[in-house]
Amino acid sequence: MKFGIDIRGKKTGADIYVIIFQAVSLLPALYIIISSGYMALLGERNILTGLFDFGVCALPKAESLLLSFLYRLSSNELIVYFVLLFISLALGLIAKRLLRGSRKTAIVFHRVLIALIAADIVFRFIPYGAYKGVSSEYVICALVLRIICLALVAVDLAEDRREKQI
Amino acid sequence: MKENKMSMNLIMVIAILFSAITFLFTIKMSQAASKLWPNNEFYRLGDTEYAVRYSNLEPNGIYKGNENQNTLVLKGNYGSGWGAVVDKNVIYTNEYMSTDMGLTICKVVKIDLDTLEKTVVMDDAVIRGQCKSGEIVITDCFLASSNHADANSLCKLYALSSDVRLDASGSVIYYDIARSEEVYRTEDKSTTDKNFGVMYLKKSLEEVME
Repeated sequence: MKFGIDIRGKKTGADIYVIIFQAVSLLPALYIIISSGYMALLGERNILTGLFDFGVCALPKAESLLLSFLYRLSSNELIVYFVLLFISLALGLIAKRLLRGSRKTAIVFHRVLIALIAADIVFRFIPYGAYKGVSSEYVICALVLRIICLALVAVDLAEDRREKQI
Repeated sequence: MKENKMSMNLIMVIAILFSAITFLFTIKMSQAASKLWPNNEFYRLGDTEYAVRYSNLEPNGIYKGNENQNTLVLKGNYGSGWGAVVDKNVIYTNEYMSTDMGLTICKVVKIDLDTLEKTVVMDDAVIRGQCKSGEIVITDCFLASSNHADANSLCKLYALSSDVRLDASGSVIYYDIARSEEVYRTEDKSTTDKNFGVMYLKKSLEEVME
């Protein structure tokens, strides 16, 4: 796999991060949409519960908290559902535009991503908004995933710098 | 890779469109199905001329009048019986809200029957009754047991940014009606204890504090 910023049409760490972000956004959404048709799912632990819990932990903590606030304010799952998907789609569209735009904007976008992911990792260690009732394995896995994402995006910048020096 | 990212965005767009249609079908179907079994109950609030109606035929809420002739004065799902305490022209009651997917959320509200002004006394809390010395007994951090809070992931999301706990523990709060304030609180008691009535409702505040 080749990393770097100015590789048009090639896979970069930032691309993978965006795909991971969109994939984990689909996990809680899957639980909500299936249980809307089969509400008995809400009363039992099953694989979808696990996917939802992991998804909520794997999302940026600020986003999880935003969704929770929104849920408490609106008492409506559908609003939470669509906000979750729209945030994910918005990041995908922004990434598509900026990563395939000029080299300068791609570098700025990478730096912004690194800052946000690093801030998210720090925020995860602050006990505010603890993942109540969520198995600690999911929380740890989500933290590891976030660290991997940070590394992926950072490798892009490092590769770009190395190429520039050559 | 460009194609992959394109397809991921496309998947998100398809998910949004597909789910909008699915929700329209599933939620509306369950709402329509709930009307197949008509329900219409009418409970008088203390000695007042007001009553609470639970119905899937007419709007739920507080009504003025009797069962046959009445007018809706305040819309909503309010508690009656042990879930409502009447003090002259003021009612302290539970206001239940149900989400589209059936999660039950409750808050304690105070309603002035003269002005019909509603004030939230406590969010995510439930009135359990009135103790021997007259204070209202409230338990906080409430998510109804019918939600299966320990297994329901939506409850976990709801609790994420709040003080709500999922293990059915919480504080028992004594609320003085005359002073309109909390007068006593015991922490970390099991609020679903079968002996809750004996432990907190059948005693006066002094006896509980001993």
